[in-house]
Amino acid sequence: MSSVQISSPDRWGAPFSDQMTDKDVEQLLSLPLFSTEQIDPERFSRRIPLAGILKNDARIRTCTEGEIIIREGDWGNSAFFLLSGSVRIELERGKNAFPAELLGRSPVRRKSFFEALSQLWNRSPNAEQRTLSALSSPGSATSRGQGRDTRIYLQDFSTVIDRYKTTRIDAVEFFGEQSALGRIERTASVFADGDCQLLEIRWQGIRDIISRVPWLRERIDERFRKRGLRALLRNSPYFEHLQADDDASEAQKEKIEQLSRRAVTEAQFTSYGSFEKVDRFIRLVESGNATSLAHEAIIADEGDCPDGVILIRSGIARVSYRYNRGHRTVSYLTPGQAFGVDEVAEAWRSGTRVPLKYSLRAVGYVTAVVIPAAVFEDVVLNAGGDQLPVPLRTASPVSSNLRSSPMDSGLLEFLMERRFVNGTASMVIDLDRCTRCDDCVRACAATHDNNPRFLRHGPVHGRHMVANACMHCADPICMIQCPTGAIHRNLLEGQVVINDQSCIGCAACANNCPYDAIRMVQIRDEEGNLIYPTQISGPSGDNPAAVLPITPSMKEWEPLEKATKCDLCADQVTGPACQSACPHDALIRLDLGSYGTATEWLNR
Amino acid sequence: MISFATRRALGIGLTTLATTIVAILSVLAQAGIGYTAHASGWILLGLIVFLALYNIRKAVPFLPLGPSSAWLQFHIYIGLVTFVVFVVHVDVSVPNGVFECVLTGAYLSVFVSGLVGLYMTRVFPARLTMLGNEVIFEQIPVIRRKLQDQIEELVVASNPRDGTSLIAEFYRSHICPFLSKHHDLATQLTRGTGTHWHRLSRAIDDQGRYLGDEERRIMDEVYVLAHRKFQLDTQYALQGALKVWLFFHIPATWALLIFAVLHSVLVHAWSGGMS
Repeated sequence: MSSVQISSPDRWGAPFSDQMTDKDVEQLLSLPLFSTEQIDPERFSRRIPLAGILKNDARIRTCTEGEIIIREGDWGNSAFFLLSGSVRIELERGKNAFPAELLGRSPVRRKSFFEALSQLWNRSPNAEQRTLSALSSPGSATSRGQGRDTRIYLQDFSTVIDRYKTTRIDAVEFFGEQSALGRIERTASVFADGDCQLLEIRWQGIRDIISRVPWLRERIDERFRKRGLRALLRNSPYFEHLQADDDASEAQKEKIEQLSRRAVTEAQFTSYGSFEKVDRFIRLVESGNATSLAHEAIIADEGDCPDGVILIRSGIARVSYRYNRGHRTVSYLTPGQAFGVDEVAEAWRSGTRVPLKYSLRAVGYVTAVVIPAAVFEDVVLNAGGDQLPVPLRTASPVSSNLRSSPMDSGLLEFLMERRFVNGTASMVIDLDRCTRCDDCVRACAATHDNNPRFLRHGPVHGRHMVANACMHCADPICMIQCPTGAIHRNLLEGQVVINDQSCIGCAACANNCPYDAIRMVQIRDEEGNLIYPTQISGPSGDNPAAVLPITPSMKEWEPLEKATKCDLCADQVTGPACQSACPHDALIRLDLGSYGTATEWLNR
Repeated sequence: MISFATRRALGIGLTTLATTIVAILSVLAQAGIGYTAHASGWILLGLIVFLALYNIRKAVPFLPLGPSSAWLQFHIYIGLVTFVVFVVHVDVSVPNGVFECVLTGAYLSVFVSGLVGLYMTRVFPARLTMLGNEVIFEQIPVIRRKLQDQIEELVVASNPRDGTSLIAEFYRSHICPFLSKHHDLATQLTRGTGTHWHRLSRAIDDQGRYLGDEERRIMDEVYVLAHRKFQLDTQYALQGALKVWLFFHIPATWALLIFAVLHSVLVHAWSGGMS
């Protein structure tokens, strides 16, 4: 009898950790969490068994007191099951939250006028010059380990943790799943409270597990329903009337609460498509492959009657219609935007079923919330009154005609196919106005100690170039594999910035960026000499382990490298110097994720 | 967002208004006090100083001095206004002294070079875009060298063992001189057709009738690469012109400023001060 070959998923070609052994998997399966009462192994396919997921999509992390497991603002692609011990989760936001320095980040501070002026005479004579003392003091957090296994710790944990509001979670519990599944930023920091053991599972594994374990799915959905859904609805123009005014009567408030509860209770959560593996994503972006549309999961198909209104929760969705033998893109939707409103509203008015005018596709991975049509009618169309957006208030059938897209069709397809719509501050250059004077590059160099942070070069469509400058992506895959969290999003203003002190030069971010926007540079001291790892030591303090690790395996005889990229002049009083230096209004930092803003500028 | 057409209409409208006011005030002042040269001179000097400050603004992009594009708009329209003020100041007369001639020459050099620059910055970028193959100016020599290497490889590959290759001969006589330097820069600025490239492309066509199939294929590839060299020459000419005009405009501005300050010192020294 011949054996049947069952292929395993592609992702298992590169396991999450090469440390996981069959014995580890056996031990995990013997835990109550993975017992047959909790998780029925029969629900898993032979191709993707539970043991396979644990072996290939998970890793066991043993943490010691003070280790930062999750840091607010980092980009997550994994969730955690706390197997033993306990962790502390930060509860406060804003000014009461843990300061950035404690978490190993340098807060971005804008220069004063005179500090800005001093850049005129304080420029370094050498390219990429750093001071050794600055490199040796990476803030209040310390790092241990090496390369991509580097870990960050809170210093003086027991004192620090008492000063901030946290809650303790004991085994067995899970956390971090919302940002892993939605590929959104972490909303709170988590620290090891003493020794603890965690099972970290990457998002693909989590997705496969929750699709086969109903109680886990329900618990995750319930968490989102409790914490995130109301916020999502509040930000949608269709649900604005669900916010009671201060002077509203008790009866009105009660009615609004009832409507809100109905929308929240009956909303359904869905996800479509998948995150491409980084190398595939890079290939796709670089090729600008027109056939990428074929790889996109259909969320709603043109001609079908909608079950409800789809609210995008995370990711980007393409709106298109059939055009000869292909599909023409007319728009795209980003988190908070809705699809199918026109058709549901028209059906409500006419009393007949109205088919969708367009298709909606997931560009990569999209999570969405579906508000059933009956709920939308009751909660929005019947109750919204004057607070509804204008098109829904008119008695005539909705006649929005996207087919005459205000943005040039070819340009729109170009932006979608290369995923430039992911950029929140893409550098777009109008080549019909750009005199190639390079004032932008000079301004960038002047504001970055004589080191320009972008190339005035990049893919061109018609008269528009998207230059190789950091786009400050809505979904920044450069952040995902950073072992120290050196590349992070500025929580106040949203720029993706690199903390030079905690960057260990592993190049994970540069390799992951499909837009060639991150460059690894060799750094030099004040004398112009290259700096080597052996010259750098971390804060010694009382903890000898806090010394930045220098071991022979770290290639100590190679010059130290740092990742550099556009920081959108986060510390400058002028904002992006490239944009304000362009004499001909040819260059702009554009939020291409915002269709309206992008169209307005491109059609000037 | 204000459209370019609206901005242009606004700029032209305000400039027209300003020049009209200057002209009317000048006529009224001349009818009243009869002598306006001091006032118009100081206004002109003030405007020129403001225009020259744009270069300073460019040197300090880290200071919150407003976007460079707004400065340029003021630079253009105030530059146009200066011409009217200049005409009023010289009372529509031809300079008759050496210093006056120098001063007038300096002003006209700056003004005309500014107009030429304005024309180039509005026309050349679109030509560069249409040309395609976007390149960074400083990389052009490197790309040209690579093209030359690629063509030489093709030519060497075409050379039969007995060494009697028509392509090699053609390369030596026609292609190599074409590749060796940038050609016809002035012709390319004016979109002329009598260029080295057009002569070369005709010569390549003419050679076709003497070539075998394989040689023709090689010659086609050479043609494509040589055409890229032509595009590179055009890029070089257009981008070069966009850079070079500033090397005239800015020094001329500084010369004008020096002469203008000297002029005002001399005027006041010999007139006993401002009346």
